[in-house]
Amino acid sequence: MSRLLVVDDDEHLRTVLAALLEAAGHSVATADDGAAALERLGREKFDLMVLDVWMPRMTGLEVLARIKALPAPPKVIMLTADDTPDTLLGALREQAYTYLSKPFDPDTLLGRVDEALGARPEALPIEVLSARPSWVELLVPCQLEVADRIQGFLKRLEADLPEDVRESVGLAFRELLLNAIEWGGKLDPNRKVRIAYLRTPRLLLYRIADPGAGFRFEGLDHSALSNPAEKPLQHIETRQQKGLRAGGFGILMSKAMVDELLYNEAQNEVVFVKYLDTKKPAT
Amino acid sequence: MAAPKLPRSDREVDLFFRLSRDLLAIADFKGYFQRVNPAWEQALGWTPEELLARPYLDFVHPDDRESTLAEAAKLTTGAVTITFENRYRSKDGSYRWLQWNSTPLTERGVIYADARDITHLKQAEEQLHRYAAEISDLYNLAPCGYHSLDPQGVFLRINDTELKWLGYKREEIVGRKRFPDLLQPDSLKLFEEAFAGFKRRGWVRDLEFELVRKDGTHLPIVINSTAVYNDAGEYVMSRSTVFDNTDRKALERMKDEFISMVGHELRTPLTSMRTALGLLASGRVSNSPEKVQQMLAIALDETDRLTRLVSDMLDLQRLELGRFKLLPQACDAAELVHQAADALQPVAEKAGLRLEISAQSAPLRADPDRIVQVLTNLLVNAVKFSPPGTTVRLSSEQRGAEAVFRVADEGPGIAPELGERIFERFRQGQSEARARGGMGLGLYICRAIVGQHGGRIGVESAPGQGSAFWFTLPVQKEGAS
Repeated sequence: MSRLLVVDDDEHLRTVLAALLEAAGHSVATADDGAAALERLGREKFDLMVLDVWMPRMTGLEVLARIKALPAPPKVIMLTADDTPDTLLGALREQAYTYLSKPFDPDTLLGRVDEALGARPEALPIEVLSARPSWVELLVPCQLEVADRIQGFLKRLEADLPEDVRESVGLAFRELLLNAIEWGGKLDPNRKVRIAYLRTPRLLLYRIADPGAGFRFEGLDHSALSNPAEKPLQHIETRQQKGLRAGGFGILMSKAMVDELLYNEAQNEVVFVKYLDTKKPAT
Repeated sequence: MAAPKLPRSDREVDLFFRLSRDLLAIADFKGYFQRVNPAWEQALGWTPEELLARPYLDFVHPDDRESTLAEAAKLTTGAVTITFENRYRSKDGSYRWLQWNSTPLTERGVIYADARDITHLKQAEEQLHRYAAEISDLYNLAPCGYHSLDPQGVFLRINDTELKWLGYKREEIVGRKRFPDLLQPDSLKLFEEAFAGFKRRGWVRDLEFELVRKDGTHLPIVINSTAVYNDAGEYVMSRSTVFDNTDRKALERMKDEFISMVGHELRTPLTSMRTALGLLASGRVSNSPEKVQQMLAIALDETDRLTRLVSDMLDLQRLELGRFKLLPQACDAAELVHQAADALQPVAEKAGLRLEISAQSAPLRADPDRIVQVLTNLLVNAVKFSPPGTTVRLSSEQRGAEAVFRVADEGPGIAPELGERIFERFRQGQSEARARGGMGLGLYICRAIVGQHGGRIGVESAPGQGSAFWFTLPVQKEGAS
């Protein structure tokens, strides 16, 4: 049974969240503000904390910053009613496991709790090199589950964009990040992928640099990109033979989803751009 | 008097003298006219005899005498006068502007002068000046900025209003600065693109920029421009109006804050309801009737909370549209206090607070529901900001022609710099208030309700000293209905 701490200044929310998590089989304690939470954490060990952002006296972000000093800090799921980039990036910077915005489906919370509790401890923390809404830059360990977390955060930064843009950018980013983690980083949690997200009024730019030596398109027989025209699904067979996860449409699909896609010479860095103004620049 | 017989050429000169439309005169060096032509009488009304009888200076406007004397003195030295102007008094007392050309004959001690009545020119000139001054006043002192930019974007002119906004002197701007020199660096690109398009298209509408004042502070503006082209169709300059966009920007910010606050306020109750109902529906707590009851109670409470939020927002909407109707009736201050206290007593108890009531009667004509709403709002605030174990005091008393209501707490108090602003829309006392929830509408609604009743509302507070909100309502005179 995992030990959970629910921290929220709203009494009702605290009560219902505790009831929900208890019904799911966890042992739950509650605290009504950040100071009380810290006090509790100083005395007892918790596996996970569900933490509200806006609370009197001490915000959730401050609590998050302070628990890093604990010998065994709990995983943290942040809850907030505001999706401002500042809050979001603050949560990311302070190593929150994930972020849920109110209101959420109770099953989603339970799912995230299980996910967080089951996650391997990270060999290396996510390093935040820049946390400006217009320039986010991160160093993340080469672990598959990290990709989902990062994507979850970055997706929220694009909350104001049209859904089709968010979706296509999200798919491209996910595929390219997984490529970097899988092929460049060889899923080695001690190596890191560098991710930059740049946002201007007119474009969205992602850059993903992996720690690998790069690749050649010629050797990519596990990728849909290399399929001969008459055998558009040849790579699937190749992947099965090589024992790879299903997929492999990454680069091909990403190319279709974004406006520009560039690789560096070594092919261990990829940049893609999505234009946000309706008119595309004259070519 | 018969005209003396003159030679034919002299007769013609004499005729010319008498028929001239110009005012011709021969004067001596002593300051008298010796001879004037009939045009004088037509222009000024004086007969030649009258003009010759007195020194001509007598006819000159007092303000012009000095310059006239100086000019006469110059003539006696032999210098000619060209287009000298002064005013002559007509017989009807009005003055006419005369423009003189004169030649002296020093050896004979006389001046041959011709004058022309230029009063109408002077009047036209004056009118032109007045008109120019009016236009310049309209341009310079308009309540908006005006400027014109040449094809390179350099200021050709700028009005006083815009200069005052920017803190620059005209000579620092005109011919010296390009408009983009005053822009925030990140809007330079927008300007260059917009300016190129504007020169082609001939207009630009509602462009928003942020200018940098001389002191480095920023000024948000909105620009509208039309272009002036020459006959060849080339761009010459812009006619641009500039409006201060500070208030609109502030309003936009306030609106954004409000929307995010509404979002915040609606999302928390929704989350509680969603979770409580989800838990009930999942059947995971059905073996515990106690838990079922608790979840239902919370869902109900949160429904009420959302209802209150929505009705606050509807009140606000009605206030803004002026559709807030009062239903006044005779009521008593003490009764209203008790009503509000009864409603809030359980809330105060739950928060660990003591509610102390001191209700004095005062006859009122008011909308009792609305006044109870005001009292409730103030009490909810007091409860929200009071540490457990403290006391909230609610009172009413009659002071002269007014009933005074008071809600005092022992909470953290309000920073003095906030002052009256806490009664504005979307204001919250402190950053902590945000964490405590509340949309900042309560006090604004209170002020509007009290104001509609002809009362006043205010607060006495200092940080750490608690706050006392008060409002007054006019007392109903006896016998009046």
